[in-house]
Amino acid sequence: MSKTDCATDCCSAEIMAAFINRNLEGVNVAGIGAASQIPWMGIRLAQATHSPDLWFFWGPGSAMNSKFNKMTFGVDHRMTLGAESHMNMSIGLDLFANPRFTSWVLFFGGFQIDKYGNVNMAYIGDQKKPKFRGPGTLGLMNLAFRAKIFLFTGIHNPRLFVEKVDFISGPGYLNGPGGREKAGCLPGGGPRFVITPIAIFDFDEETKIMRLKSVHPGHTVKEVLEKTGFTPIVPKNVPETEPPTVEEVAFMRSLDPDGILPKLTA
Amino acid sequence: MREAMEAFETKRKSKVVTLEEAASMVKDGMKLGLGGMMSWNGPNAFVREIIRKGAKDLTLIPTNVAGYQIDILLGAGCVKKLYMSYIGFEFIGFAPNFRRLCESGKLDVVELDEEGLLQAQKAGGIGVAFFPLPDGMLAVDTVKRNPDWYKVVEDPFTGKKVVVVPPLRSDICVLHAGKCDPYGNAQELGNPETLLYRSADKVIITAEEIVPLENTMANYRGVTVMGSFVDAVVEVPFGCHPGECSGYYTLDQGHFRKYIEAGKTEDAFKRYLDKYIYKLKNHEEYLEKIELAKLISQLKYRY
Repeated sequence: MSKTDCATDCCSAEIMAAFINRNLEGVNVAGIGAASQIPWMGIRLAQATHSPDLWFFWGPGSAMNSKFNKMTFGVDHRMTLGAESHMNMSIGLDLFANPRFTSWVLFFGGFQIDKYGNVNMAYIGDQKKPKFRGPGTLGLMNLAFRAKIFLFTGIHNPRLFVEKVDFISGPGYLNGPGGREKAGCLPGGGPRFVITPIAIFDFDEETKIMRLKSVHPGHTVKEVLEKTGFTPIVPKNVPETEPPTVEEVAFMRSLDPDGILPKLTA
Repeated sequence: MREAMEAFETKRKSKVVTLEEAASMVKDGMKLGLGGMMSWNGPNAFVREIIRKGAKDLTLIPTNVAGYQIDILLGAGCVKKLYMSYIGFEFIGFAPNFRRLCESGKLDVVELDEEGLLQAQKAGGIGVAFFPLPDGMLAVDTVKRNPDWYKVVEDPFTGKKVVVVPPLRSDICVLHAGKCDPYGNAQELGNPETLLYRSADKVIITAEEIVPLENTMANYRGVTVMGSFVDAVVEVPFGCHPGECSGYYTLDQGHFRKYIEAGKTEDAFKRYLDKYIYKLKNHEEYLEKIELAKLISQLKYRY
């Protein structure tokens, strides 16, 4: 396996996809919604390398193991090409609290994420006359259920990473330890990672606060702290995020002939 | 025996009507269910027709992820109340009229998540008093901020707290399908809109093509709408433009960008509505206006 030089050989989105790939070992099903090209790339890479038994669930069309092998800008129904099963939205929705869902990983984002991994996709301000109207909660309530969640973003700035979200569309650890349990969440769910164009976070076991796990090549801890609107937990030693190998980058680019991946992060 | 079967088939009443006739089934003030997820399979020609007729005071019930079919009705001033879990244009951008109306406080929005919207539609279709949601919903702010919709009850078996939502039904729902026979048996190649049609008092199907009963029978496992639920069937080729019709044509990204640009201000949107709806007589003139002949190759499904 040959190492890449991230200054020249790969982009942020590829680093993010490579991290996702590495962390899907042992997972039964990985599911995505809309605007999820980076997780898609990580999942297809995992299926092609260490996890051929990994199931890929394409949420928008409720299809399993799509084999459409070209990255597209948006969601379109060609993604159902080569699917192995399909269901309607009603049955798809009923999957999300299935007791066996603890073997799933789901990918989500939003326009606000706070230090406990709570996610907002609804609005900022008053419900009747919001200051900022987002599209809506959609399937983010899945964060309350039993699947493991990987959060991912296309940008990293203090307007996205806030001290406290204005509206909890997707519950992370709410207001800290015990928060999920008090709200009746069953064990096993909640966010595990926050994957951004400049860093990876996980969650401190005790305080449930976002903890800086690694910084991508070419970026610094100082930069991450400047661009984050709260103070995450910063361990004494913060390693560099492991970049993708040359082979992994070649594979990703073979699935992205239109060169969309580099445009997905700012 | 064969004569009896043929007699049955010739006497069976066709539900096929014109787009104008179907649109006139939607009366002011009605609760209107609209199919279409993401940018796919929205009954957009039908929506343009009811805008042309000046529909007013509608309550809209969309799918969990809706866009143009809802946003254009908002921009045309037809809507009083909206149930939603997501109104947006995914990678293309925010829904401009939805955003503008909400930020000026001019729209009665019932702010739901996918569970709160879809399980309520399910309850509406299966005839139960309410629908229980999974453990953990108390952590979601849609529940906290909409106590009229999400109620907390006690599980009669375990005593645990359970969040429940009421049944949600529409007066009429409109779905766009790829194929439909004259009796209402429809084949949707995209996500089947089962929840919407089962929770509607009346169902209208617009279809890319009306197919004979033989086609239905040869593909009965692909039929996603039971004809017995359907009240009217309309043939509307390219009825999803600018959206995708799964299996037929993909979305017109250029037109969506024009739409979103026009939605930025009330005046610009009025001009858009004039150009694509009010100054045109019918769907055929719309297809001429968008220069479909030039677009067809671009909108073809390419794998």
